[in-house]
Amino acid sequence: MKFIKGLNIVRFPSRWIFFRFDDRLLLISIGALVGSCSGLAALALNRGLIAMFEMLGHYRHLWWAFIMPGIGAALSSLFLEKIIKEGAGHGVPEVLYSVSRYGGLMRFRSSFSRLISSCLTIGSGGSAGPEAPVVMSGAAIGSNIAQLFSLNDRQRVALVGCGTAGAVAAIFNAPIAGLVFTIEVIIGEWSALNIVPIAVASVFGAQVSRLLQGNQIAFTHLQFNIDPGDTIACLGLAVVTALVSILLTRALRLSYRGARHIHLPIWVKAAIGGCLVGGIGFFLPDVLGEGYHSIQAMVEGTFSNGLLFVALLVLAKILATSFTLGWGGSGGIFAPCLVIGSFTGLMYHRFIEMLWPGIAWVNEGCFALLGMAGLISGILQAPLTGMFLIVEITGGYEVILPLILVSAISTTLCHSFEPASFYMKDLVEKGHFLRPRTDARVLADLSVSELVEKDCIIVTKEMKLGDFVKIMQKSHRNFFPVEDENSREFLGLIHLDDIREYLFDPLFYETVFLEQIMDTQVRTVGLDDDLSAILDRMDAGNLFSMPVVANNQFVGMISKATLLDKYRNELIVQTNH
Amino acid sequence: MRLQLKEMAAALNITPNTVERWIRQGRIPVRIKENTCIFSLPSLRKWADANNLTYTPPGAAVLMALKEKAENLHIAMARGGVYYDIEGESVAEVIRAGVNCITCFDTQGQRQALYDSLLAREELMSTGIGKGVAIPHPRTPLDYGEIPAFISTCFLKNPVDYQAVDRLPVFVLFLLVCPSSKSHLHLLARLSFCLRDEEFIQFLNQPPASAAFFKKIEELDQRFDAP
Repeated sequence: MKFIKGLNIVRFPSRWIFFRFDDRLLLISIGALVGSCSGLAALALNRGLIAMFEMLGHYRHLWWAFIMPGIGAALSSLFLEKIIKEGAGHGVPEVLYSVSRYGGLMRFRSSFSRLISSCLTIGSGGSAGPEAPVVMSGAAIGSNIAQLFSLNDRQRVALVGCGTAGAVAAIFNAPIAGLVFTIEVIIGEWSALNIVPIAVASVFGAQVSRLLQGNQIAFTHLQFNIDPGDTIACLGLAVVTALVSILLTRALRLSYRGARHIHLPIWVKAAIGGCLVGGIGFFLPDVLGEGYHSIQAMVEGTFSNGLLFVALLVLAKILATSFTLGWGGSGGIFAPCLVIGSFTGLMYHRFIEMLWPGIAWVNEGCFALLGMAGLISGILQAPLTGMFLIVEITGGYEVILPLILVSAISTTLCHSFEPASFYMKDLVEKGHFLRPRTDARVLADLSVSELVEKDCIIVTKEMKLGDFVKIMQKSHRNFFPVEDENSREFLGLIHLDDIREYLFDPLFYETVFLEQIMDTQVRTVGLDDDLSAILDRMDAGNLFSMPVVANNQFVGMISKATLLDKYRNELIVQTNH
Repeated sequence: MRLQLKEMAAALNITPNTVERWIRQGRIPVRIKENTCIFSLPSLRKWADANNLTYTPPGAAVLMALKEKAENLHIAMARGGVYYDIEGESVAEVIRAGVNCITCFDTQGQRQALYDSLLAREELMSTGIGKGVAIPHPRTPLDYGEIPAFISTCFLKNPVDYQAVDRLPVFVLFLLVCPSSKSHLHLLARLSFCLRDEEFIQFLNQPPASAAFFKKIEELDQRFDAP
């Protein structure tokens, strides 16, 4: 008994006197733990990928190597589908969905499932990135630690953010990018309450990564000397990266849709997609895997191929990524974006060199780097993430001016073609994308049962108007639901406005029954109806209130007046912290 | 502090579902254990203030409801008092004499204001409602701050021609002064219920002693409240 009590003290740290005063300290401490754990998860995937590459590297040149990505994708799809029983998908939309709809509630198995499946897909050569899987793992770790400590939704969402921040910070050794990505993409709310624990988690994630694999910058580069001319040239690059971003988004979606129309077991589709990728990779090995080696070569300026070949690589990588992810492989879009971005930058550099051979352009590595920022910003529609990530993974602060330009313009252009970013598109279409402090969020949180007013006086259909007038005197409401005396079934509604002119004529009192004057064509709502749909119905019918009916019985009325009251309360409570 | 979920919801004037959801989402400084809300009162009050809500302790709400219900005719009448042998030959004179009797006021200024307002109402139309009864009241509710609604009963020495609806001379005034139109209607409805009773009019015809008068009013009050 004592042991259980002791266990409870550990399980409910929010009840400790120390934390009761303010949960910020609690969130910071648990956030540090979550950041470290998700950092470890990220490193585990990183190590796993390196091991897979080394193991399979010897067979790459053999003629049958093209089936390796197929086998990997099939295995990963089977693993997710049969063993873990989770759908495919790259992870970030799943995290966003859980944060939007379920206060960050995630299953425990999500904390490792994507690590294994994406390791199989990418390690075997599939064109995808390890970031989204570690983001999902980190988020699931945060969510499960929050559940272990019995924290509430708000705290859980903050810890999910801690998990993603720790994971991104660890895998890129980029603490600020981890923080910014989490706030900009996952949480969507810039408040100190979230930022502080997430920043701490970022620090811990990056620290774990530095402890275990050293403080290395992912892509080292030469010194860049950027002239104003280069900055102007970047405007063109921004347009090109935006176009490539849109192309990639559309190609991915097309590939998803195409795969959905083919009626084959999901793992067979994954295998076919993987083999296609393997086929492309056989001729253009740069498109295989996460592709960080080619990025390194481009940033250093040692990538020697010509303009047409690089343009071909851009298209090939887009195709390979679509086949990998669209057909059921498991992995993220982040790394392919970086690769495609650097190819795009390089392509653009070759192109302007060809047009104006006389001008001394800055090193091509700089353009590769800017291309990455443009693509990340365009695909995620998160300009800050693009800027900070590229600055951190390349250690190239001197490119910040063109970097900001490219990120900003690319985001804006993509936004005008694709209003919702790649991660959010599906959620927006299904109405599941609920950012904090928005109308949709408030309406989704309020439920009909919280708004229903139950002080209506229920009358029966056999009642005479004379008796009804007496009842009316005691009521605060203009609506009187009519129900069957025996079955209590809702029959209709009497609205005072409709009968007011007859109320003062005593002749009616003994001759009219309520059955004769009630409105039976009244539109009703159920207890589980979505509030925004109810409001649409009210607007369409020009109604101010509607009866709530459950199981054929009257529950109460829902009115716009009360809704405004509760809506305002909810908005204040949600935004006031 | 501990409160049941329902009490908590009532104290904040929101539904229990909302309280439960806010606790789950971590929007309110309260935690819940098997339907019991556990919280610290100062931090909850602070939170309620910051969020445009009011926290009314469960006891206070019951007390307020009781107080509101207790505002019956006999209470208002006891507050106003009963006065006999009011002198005067005209409407203005009897009203002046009646106002001078009222003990609820401290200053002459308040009396004068009431008198002016009562006369203004009489000029509009007589408040003599027939059967020898008049209910002088101010044209608009008078708010004297601390003074709650009261009715002063004034039995006249000599019946006065009040230009009542039935032309009968008036022998009793019910001076009705209320701080709000709501309480005005509330008390007027009860008074009108009494005056419809012929027996009560007969009872008033021979000015009763104040104890007997209040007893009768209390009785009628109860009859009014009976379903």
